[in-house]
Amino acid sequence: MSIWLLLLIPLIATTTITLITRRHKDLSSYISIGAVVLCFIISIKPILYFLRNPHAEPLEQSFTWLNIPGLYVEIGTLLDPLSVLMLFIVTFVGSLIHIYSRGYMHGDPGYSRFFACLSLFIFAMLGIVLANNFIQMFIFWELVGLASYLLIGYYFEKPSAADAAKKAFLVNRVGDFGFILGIFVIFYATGTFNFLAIEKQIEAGNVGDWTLLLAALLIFCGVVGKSAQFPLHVWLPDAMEGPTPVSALIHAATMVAAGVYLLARTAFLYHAAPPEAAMVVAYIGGFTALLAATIALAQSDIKRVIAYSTLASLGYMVMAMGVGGVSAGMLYLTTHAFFKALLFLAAGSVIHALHTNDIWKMGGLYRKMKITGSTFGIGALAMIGVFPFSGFFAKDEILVATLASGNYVLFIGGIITAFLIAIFMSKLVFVTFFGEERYEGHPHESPPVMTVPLIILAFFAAVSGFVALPGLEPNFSTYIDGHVEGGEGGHFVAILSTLVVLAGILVAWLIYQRGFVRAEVIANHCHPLYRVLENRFYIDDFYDRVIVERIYNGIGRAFNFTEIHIIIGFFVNGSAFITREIGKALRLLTTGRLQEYALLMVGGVVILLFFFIFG
Amino acid sequence: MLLDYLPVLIMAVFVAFIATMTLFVSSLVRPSRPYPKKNQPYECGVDPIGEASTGRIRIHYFVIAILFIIFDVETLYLFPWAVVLKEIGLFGYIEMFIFIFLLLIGLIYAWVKGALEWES
Amino acid sequence: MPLNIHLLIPELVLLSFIILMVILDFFVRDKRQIGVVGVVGTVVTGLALILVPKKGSALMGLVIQDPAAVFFKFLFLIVALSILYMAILYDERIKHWKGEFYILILFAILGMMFLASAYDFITLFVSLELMAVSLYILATYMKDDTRSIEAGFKYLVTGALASGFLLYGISFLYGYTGYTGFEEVAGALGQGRGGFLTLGLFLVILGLTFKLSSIPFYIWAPDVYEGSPTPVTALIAAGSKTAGFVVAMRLLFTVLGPVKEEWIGLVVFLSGATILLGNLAAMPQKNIKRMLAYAGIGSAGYLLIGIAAASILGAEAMMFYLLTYIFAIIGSFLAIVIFSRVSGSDSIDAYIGLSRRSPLLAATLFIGLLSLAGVPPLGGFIAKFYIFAAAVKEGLIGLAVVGVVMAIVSMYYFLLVVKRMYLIEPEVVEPIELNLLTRATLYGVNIVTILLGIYPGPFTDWLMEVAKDFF
Repeated sequence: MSIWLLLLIPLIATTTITLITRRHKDLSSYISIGAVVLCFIISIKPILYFLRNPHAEPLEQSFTWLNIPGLYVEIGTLLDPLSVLMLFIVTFVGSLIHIYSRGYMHGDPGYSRFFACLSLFIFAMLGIVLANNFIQMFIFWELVGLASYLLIGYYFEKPSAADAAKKAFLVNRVGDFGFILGIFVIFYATGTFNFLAIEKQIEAGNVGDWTLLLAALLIFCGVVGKSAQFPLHVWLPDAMEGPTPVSALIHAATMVAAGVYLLARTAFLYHAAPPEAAMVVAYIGGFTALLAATIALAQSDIKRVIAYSTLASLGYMVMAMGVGGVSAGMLYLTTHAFFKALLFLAAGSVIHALHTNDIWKMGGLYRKMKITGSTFGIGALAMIGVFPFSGFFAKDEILVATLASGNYVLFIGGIITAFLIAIFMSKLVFVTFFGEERYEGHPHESPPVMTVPLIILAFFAAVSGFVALPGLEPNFSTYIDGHVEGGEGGHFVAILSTLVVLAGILVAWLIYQRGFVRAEVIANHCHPLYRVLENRFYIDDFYDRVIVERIYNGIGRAFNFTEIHIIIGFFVNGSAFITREIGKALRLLTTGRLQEYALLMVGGVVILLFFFIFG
Repeated sequence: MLLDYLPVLIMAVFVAFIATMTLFVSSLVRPSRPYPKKNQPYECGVDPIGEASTGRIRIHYFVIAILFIIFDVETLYLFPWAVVLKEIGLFGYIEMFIFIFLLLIGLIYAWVKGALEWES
Repeated sequence: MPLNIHLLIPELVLLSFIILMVILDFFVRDKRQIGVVGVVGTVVTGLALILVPKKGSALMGLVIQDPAAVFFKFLFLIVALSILYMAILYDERIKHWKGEFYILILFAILGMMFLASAYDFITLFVSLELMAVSLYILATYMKDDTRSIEAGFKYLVTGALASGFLLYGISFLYGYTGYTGFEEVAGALGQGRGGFLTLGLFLVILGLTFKLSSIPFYIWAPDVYEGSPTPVTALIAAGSKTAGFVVAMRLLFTVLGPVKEEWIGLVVFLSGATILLGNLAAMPQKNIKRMLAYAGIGSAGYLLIGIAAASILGAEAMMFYLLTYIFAIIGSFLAIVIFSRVSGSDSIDAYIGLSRRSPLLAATLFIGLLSLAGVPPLGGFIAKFYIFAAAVKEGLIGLAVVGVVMAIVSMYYFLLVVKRMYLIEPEVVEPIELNLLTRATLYGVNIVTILLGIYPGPFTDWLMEVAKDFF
């Protein structure tokens, strides 16, 4: 019963705020914060249960939602180590970010609206985490999309925010279209939506290889959309138009990780499907990571840099899922939730103080903002993956899993990504918090309501990696997988990656701290490359120019892009035109003259009688 | 099957025949001295307005006709009721009074709302 | 067969209240009070309906009572409540015969309630006409508005024509079997069939399509919807159509079920053609009531799919569809009535920026229209889903495909309204004030529509039981 409360409480909170307490800002925020904290408290019980019994059977509860012959849809909850872990992340990080938001959003005119959306998001996210079947997951999947849309467009009076919201929404729909098709394929093959039942069917070998491959790839479309993988990654950096706590909660810690969670939840599918499916997943992930890390080098907006680092992280996680390292991916997801939320919140603290996002208008902030600076530093070290911070363990496990799977290309790509991450994250720290002071005004440390969550998150970002220590029982991978994953080459990878990231930090230190090589010099020397990076490989422009403009204006039909868009343009626009014209023609029948009406009626009867009696 | 309906057809033909014959024969034998007043259609003593062929009648005739039909039907209903009154007993007796009561309310309604006023 | 008058207590209660309203009309100055008495009467009737036995036959078999009839009577009472409420809101725009407006609404509802119980062609016809005649008058109610007069007149003439066909068909059925009772006709049908039976059957079905507003007798709908006073439009849309479908279900499933093969082809054709026509013709409309008329024609087509399925699932799907349809219509028309009081216009363009002026009103119309379009998670989605499931199960794949495609097309014209309400900045930004009762009503209707969409389980289980009565 208490499990249902997890869904009920945030739902009640969001409806209460929208309907009743909209005008009372403080009350609204307390309701929202209370709801998420309550959820956290409720979720402690299942967390402890599964920590004590990591090999316990999944707990499933459900009731009928729709039952017609041939179609049975249920609403249910599924508790197993995986969902409980996510439950912990969502409610715990969510609680901290809710509290932080009280300070960050202080004085904003849409205060209540903000908290209502946050509660809606928590409701939807918990719905995804707890779902025991595909349909329910898809519904909540769309709901988090809605919450994300509302929050990205929170400053809707700003055109860029409204556009970013629209972009996120549309790009996600593309992925979700594939997702729902995948769900139908699965349903067609197995006759059920329930995860456990599908798993049983697949293990029994009732589903053909091609069906599995098709389903796996289609479902992966959903992941590509929500977890912002190439080529649908373009919405995530723009999503930074939303308030910073939203970036931390939705676009870093939880929602974008939902795709990774979906991959973990349906790992049995990718396991049973032909290896090409997992291959596609792994390569898309690896490529996204490398691409994002490269782009991040040339960005100067603090939130954008972190956003691209999120993309890189998500790429890592998806790659881990693709090479079969479920527990490695989930470990990265967990630690990432802490350190990325921390990075965003700390960045938010800086933005709160300076009212700018441009790192070149910061510098030397550490002296003014000790707590923010040091917590940001911890987050960056975790993100870079320096021993003993949490990111180290997570990244290490992913690289080990990749190496163990024999994908050397991906492994090398992962190492390069780690190097690039080290460079731009250290650059961020050096440029923002050290060096000369380039800011205007008098920045000061944020209030405790913001710094306390930072400190708590920093603690977890620093130490949460230790749950993966090989000696621990149960340690992270036995908790998720029930067995220890391959430790082949563990030491080699650990040493290699440490050397690489130290090299990266050194490079950044030489360039941005010591001024050994001036940043502008590099930019000038590699001008074309720098421009390409600054413009994010022109992928956004490509989409804007080729897809958005053409389809929006309905002029050209993007002939040179892909056939899909020709088809969409032709069928959607063409059929809309044809149907509208038919509609106009039909309207002519309704002349308004009564005699003609009567004639039409009697004529209709006569014709129908003629056809159906004598025909 | 269709043959069963033959009497209906014969009946229809017969009626049409009789009607036209009556009109035709009487037009042959009667004297014909028309003048304008005589050619006017009879409308309850009220002067007709406009062409009859346009189908305009004073709507009030319609209201009166409906009221008339209602009470006509009531009378029609009262006769068989009176005949079997002893058999249907008290129940039927009360039932008829409910029926008349309802009609009475209808009449009062028509009266109050001015349906019986000729000049408006 | 006994009289069993007690089965008709709800109807008698309603009739008593109507007579009371007629008498009160002589004395009461503010006619809205008569509407309030009507609301009380409706509620009392509802209570009586809860207490009355749910199974039996009354008036020598002229009417029956079964769970399906009770379900539809409840629906009609819900319609009555909301239409009376709309009428009270609309009161100031009615110039003449204000009291009778409420009385006639309840007369129409009374006719619908008898239709739900009709078990004899005579009962069917008389109650159908009780409803129809009340509606003819109501449609013409705005004596000073030529459009209203035009609407009422067209409604009357086309309605009379359709009644003629219906009656003609009934007389064939009577001529063939020698009975007017449903059960007797059903019994006689089992023994053989001939040309006149089919002819009678088809004429009855086609005559009924007037009430359903489907092909071939759909043509009155746009003019009547547009011209009638808005509460009457809502009554025609929600009540009259539902009543038509009750009769169609009772007649085609119960009576003509044994000769299913005879009529299924016709219904399939009517259904497909109506869906196509309604949804396509709705697209270029500029007036929201006219658009809803065509959307209503489309809905009639979807409901006919359920009839074509001719199965328990089909009947269940239709009942669920009608349930969601009624709430969607009530919500949309409440919003339209309230909004037209402020703007004085029913043009779709008048709705520009409504979300800024009254978020609740815009949300109500939004939810109502999207439920009609069948968008999850609203009730209309589940309803359409059910209808299609029933069709597919009976092998009517083609019909289901047409339905799905046209459901997508329907999104287009519903979203045109939504777009105006939400995405275009208004020129007038003056907020629309709603009183507490109105707000509560709107919230109630919206919650029901959403509830039907997100948790239809209890309703569908219940309707599954009810649906069995038809066969």
